[in-house]
Amino acid sequence: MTWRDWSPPLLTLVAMVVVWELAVALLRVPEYILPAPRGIAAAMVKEWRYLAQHTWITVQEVLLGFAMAVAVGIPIAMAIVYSPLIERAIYPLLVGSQSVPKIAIAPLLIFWAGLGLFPKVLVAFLISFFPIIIDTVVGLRSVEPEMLHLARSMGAGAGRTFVKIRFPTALPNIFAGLKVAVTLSVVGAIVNK
Amino acid sequence: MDTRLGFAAIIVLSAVGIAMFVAVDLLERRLIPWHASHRSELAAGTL
Repeated sequence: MTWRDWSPPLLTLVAMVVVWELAVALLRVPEYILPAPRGIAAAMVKEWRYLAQHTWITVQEVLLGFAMAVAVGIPIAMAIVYSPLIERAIYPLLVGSQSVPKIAIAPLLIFWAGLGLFPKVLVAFLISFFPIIIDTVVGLRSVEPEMLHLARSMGAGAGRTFVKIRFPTALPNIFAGLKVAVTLSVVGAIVNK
Repeated sequence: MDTRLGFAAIIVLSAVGIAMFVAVDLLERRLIPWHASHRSELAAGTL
């Protein structure tokens, strides 16, 4: 990550902030509708202690929810790939469960799990485990059959085949899922606030 | 309601999200440097 990578998005961001500042000033947008970037920066500096404190709590919620999603999602994906019965039993339900608006059940989760850290962790988990499962399933399936045949003819057992061939092949997809999931789990943790 | 503080919180949280994404991306570069998504343009050009 060098200056070459960072400068284009950074300059775009600066340009957008400048346009925002000018637009607010020229159009006389009232503060309670859209505050100017300068005012926001001032509020950030003034309330940094409060912001840092709450951000730290949110970071904990996000990391916990994300870790849970990884710990639950990857084994479920493995079960789906290795067992057609499990696939037929839970894959459709899993896809269906994603059409449930998590934001709508967030208040219910607070009701069930109290006001502490846990309901937020739970929403972060619920939102982020789906992309992890889907991408891991796709990744584990994308092994070339020739590779599996090779492993079998060399006498590798199921466990060895998984560690040496299936899992490494799936890693790029797993990481794609993880990338989608981290950002989603941030959304999830905030939804409950 | 303090919209300025609200926007400040949104900006801080987006920064958190970006930091998390970069963390996973760096981990990915460490673990699977052989994957196509991380080959540099220069290397792809010489292939």
